[in-house]
Amino acid sequence: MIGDFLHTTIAMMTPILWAALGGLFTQLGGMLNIGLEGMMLVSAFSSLYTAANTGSLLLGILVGISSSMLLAAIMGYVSLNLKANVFVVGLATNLFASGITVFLSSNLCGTKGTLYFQNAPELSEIKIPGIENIPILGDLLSGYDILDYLVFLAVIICFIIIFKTPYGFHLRSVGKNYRASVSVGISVYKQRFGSFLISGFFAGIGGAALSLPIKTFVGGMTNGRGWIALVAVILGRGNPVGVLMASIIFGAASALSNLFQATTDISPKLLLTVPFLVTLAIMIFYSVKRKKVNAQ
Amino acid sequence: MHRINGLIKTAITIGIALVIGIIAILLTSSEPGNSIKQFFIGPFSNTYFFGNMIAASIPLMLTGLAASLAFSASAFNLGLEGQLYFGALVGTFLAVKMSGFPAILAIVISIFASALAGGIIAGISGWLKAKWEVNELISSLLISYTLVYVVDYFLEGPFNDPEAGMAASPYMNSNFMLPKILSPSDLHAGVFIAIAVIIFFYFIYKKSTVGYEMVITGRNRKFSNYSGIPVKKVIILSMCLSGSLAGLAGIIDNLGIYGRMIRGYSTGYGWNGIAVALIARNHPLLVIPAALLFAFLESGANVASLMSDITPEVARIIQSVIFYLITAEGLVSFIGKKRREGIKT
Amino acid sequence: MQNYILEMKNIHKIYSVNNVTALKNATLKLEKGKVHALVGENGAGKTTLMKILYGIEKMDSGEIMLRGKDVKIDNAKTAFELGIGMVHQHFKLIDDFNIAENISLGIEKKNKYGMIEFKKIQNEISDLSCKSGLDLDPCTKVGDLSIGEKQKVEILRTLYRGAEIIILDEPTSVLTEQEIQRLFNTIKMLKNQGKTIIFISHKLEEVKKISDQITVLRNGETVFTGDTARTNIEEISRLMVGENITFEKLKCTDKKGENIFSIDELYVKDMEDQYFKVKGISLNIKAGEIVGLAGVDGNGQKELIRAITGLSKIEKGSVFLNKKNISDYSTRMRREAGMSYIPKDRVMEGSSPESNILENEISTKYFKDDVSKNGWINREKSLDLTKFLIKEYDIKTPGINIMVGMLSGGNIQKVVISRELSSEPELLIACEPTWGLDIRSQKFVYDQLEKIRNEGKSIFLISGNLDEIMYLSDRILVIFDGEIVKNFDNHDDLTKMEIGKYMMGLHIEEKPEKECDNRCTESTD
Ligand SMILES: Nc1ncnc2c1ncn2[C@@H]1O[C@H](COP(=O)(O)OP(=O)(O)OP(=O)(O)O)[C@@H](O)[C@H]1O
Ligand SMILES: [Mg+2]
Repeated sequence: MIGDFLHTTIAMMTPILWAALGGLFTQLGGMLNIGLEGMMLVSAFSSLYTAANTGSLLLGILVGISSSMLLAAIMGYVSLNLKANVFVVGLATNLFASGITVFLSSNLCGTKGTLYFQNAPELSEIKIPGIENIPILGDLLSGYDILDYLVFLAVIICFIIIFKTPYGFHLRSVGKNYRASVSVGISVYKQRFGSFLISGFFAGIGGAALSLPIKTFVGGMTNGRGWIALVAVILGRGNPVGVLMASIIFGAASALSNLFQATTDISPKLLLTVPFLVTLAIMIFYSVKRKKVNAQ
Repeated sequence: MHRINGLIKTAITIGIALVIGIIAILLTSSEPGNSIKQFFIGPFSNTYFFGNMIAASIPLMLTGLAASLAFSASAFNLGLEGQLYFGALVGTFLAVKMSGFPAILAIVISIFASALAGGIIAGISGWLKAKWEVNELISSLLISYTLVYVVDYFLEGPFNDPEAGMAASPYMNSNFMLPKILSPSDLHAGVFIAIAVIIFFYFIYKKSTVGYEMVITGRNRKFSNYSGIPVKKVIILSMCLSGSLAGLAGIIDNLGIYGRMIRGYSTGYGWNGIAVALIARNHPLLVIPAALLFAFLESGANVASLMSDITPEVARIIQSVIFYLITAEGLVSFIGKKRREGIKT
Repeated sequence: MQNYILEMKNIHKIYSVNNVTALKNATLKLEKGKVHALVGENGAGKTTLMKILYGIEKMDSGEIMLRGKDVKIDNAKTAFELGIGMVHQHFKLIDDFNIAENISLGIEKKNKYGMIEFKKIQNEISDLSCKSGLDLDPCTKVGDLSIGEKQKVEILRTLYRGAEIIILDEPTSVLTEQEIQRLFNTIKMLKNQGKTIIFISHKLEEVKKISDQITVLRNGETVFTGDTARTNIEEISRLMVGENITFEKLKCTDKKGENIFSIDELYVKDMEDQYFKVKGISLNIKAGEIVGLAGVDGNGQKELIRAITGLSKIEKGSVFLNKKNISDYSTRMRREAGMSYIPKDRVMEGSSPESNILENEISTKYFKDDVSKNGWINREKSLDLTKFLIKEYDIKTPGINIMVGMLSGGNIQKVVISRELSSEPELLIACEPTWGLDIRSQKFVYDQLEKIRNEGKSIFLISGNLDEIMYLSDRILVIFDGEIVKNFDNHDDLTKMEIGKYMMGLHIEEKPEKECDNRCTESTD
């Protein structure tokens, strides 16, 4: 049971963490990326559709990423070059995504409802020999799909990009004080546009991680995960490890809600609130603690 | 001077966005002439569509005002959707339970209860912010998500009308419904309430000491503290006001159109209200045209998908293309090939 | 024909946003290895000219020749590749980054994997900091530095980028006496190393002391260039403003009244709520008295003022105004009790730059009968008040609806002062009231302070500028490490040296030069 709980935690966390890593980059550049939800959705559709029709998971994921990055590039262009309000552009992205996915689904697959691709390649669970059978630890460490494992690698890579490379360094400087960055010759535009593209990249994987394992696409299947990712970004305070922690909390709370669903007869609708309430409680807890440590 | 220039620029930008919307239709429709006509003229073509369009703008005016009020005090209320939904539940519940009351009394109580409920919910985020510096943007968002589920639970369970065959509350006494205008369209007297509220808040914002406090706090919190403006109170108050307007936006459709509360009846009023506020640049009066514009695009999309070969998805895509560009300040100078100077230092 | 390292000729610049002609026909010629002063009133165009040289503003016409060659500088990167470095009037540093990160930002060294070599950068910077005499630990967070230290970081940054021409835009206006002395040492040393320095200042004594040559700008035009040695302060000041402005030390009045303001054993912690920064301060100010507080920045002045004005919590002790204990009062209640406050940061704290003059003028009294009734602001009354103040305090503005952020520094300060004095305070707290102001505005501020003192009000003046303290104060208190260590009567024979001694904590000589080793003790990664 504990094993199940831990396993569900990680599985629930993965898509959110991918998207949150994307949101982290735009956040570091000083912008709130409302469009994560839409990017995930577009990728969830396009990756699954491609994978099902080509039989290649890799190709599916790549197409998912590209489509999400395309949306990100549009967001970047409209908000940076045309100076539109980034919040409205994000809402437009989400609206566009919800329209285009249903449009494509009905034109390409003939239905606006649930799409299930029986023949789509399996995003198989990787069993780690040796560990697999250890109780609890086996559940915790083994039996995930590749995107679940890769996300931890991605956290490390993001950490390196953000704190060790000139790009991350410049991006952080832009987010903290763009005037200071301009005065040493850093292009705010390039940094921010880059952060949109990276955002699209990771949100794209997040979308694929949503649809590929279940071989299913439904309109609006992201169901607020882009927003939760945004919450994880802000709670993570500019650090990928912080974002990981926040995503784990959310994953655990979702797993808890699943557990209650299986073991109690509280209404499932009410149990759906658990992840949000837990996240809120933890956020308040941290704020109170921080405030106590350095009051005013 | 500056303001007028800004307005002209906004108008041109919206114009360009609409033109690009037309191009999108040309690309997607096999009968573009009819589609364009339905999309842009459709909402005005008869009193039914026209009335529905105005009706759709009512909650948007109120959520738009709610968002602009909070934003102008630099309080980022992203929980409008939940505040609206919860406010509507409370108001509808009371309206249903008060069936023996005189209509006027029931309506007034129901409206005030909704506003109060929304205000309290948003006020919690404001209070958390003032007390412990909990980011109000996230707290309001999380509370909002929670509330949407909680309200759905009530509509499906304890407060469900078993005869409805869907997740909806029982009907309230039909006397409580706001008078209809332009029947058979959805338009109702709530539009006057919305406009009156907007004008009232415009005066609050422009002329009252409370409005002054909110604007000054929104622009520079340090200066407000220094001047002795009670910043924490101002933040809590502006969140409360914003939430009560959201609550009001929530109940108005139930009193005006449905006579009960139906799950998911809000088609993103909260989110769209934020967009409305941003298009209106947080100006209370400009919220009215911005909400109308929004409702126009919404109805245009609906009419076009009813009366032409444009499907609802395509309508949504066209709508999104317009949103992308609707706040694009740079569009005017971009089109005029006059690139603006670089970032000012 | 002189050999110049840099010539800027016939520079014109109009800011398109507000149609202000900032420069017309401005000319500047620099000789290598010299300190060249650039002076002029607020708004004369000094900063604009420098921003053009540094590539962050575009000129409308004119030419720039560097070492005899025409150059086009259109961004900061080109400027520092050409060996031009600038220390801005408002520092361009990132508080959350450490010194090494700030200095290397934009030109960081990478290893073969494309990673930034922070270690190597830190070592280079500590070496450079020893060599140049700008003693800094590269691992300190910039947000924790004093203003003087931040300035050193800025100078070090120009050196790290290989600057040959270094622009210092009003470097001294925010420094204390000691820090200015140190800055001058740095400048002399840089000059000896062959660097060319542009030095901007409103304080002509400084200009006289440190510069070799001088250029005077007036309304965007160069009206004079010549050797400093062959001019005198009166002449320069006449060239700048068209009249001769001088200051005389205020006469102490003996019509002092009762104690208006007193503090009793006050303890205050720092902003992070960790250590005590004010450690048991007591003081009294009488009616009709100006008390100056002298001290090196960071010795508890900020915390003391914030506690007095109700912006931070008092840990222990009490504050009395007019015999009332106001320790538990909110900022508004303190203001109601007769306190006014001119803050150090007039742009971000003392005003709301995005609000118009009217909105700024009423921020402390919008709820009072003067300008509002039953919660509604009376437009006529507030307009009258604003018009009156604009006239009374001679605020130069194109209109009442102008955003305060668009006014010049001197006029922003007039807005602040007019608001603070119009509430007829019993006690005025004035922090660095003349920072960055030109002589004329400075004179204005001094006259105002003198006027209200003569009306029997009390003034608590906090300033890092000892001349200012000595001009104005009846009494001078010295703060050191959170305590008042000395109380001087401002006699004519009191010297800066004497005060400085206490400011440094009773040590007459500077501490012996400590061995220079700035290597990071702990790694940051
Ligand atoms: N970014 C800007 N946009 C519009 N006008 C500006 C801008 N910067 C400066 N100005 C205007 O240009 C003129 C010259 O300003 P500048 O900052 O160069 O003066 P300064 O000599 O440096 O004054 P100070 O001594 O106050 O620093 C002023 O009238 C000022 O208001
Ligand atoms: Mg200047």
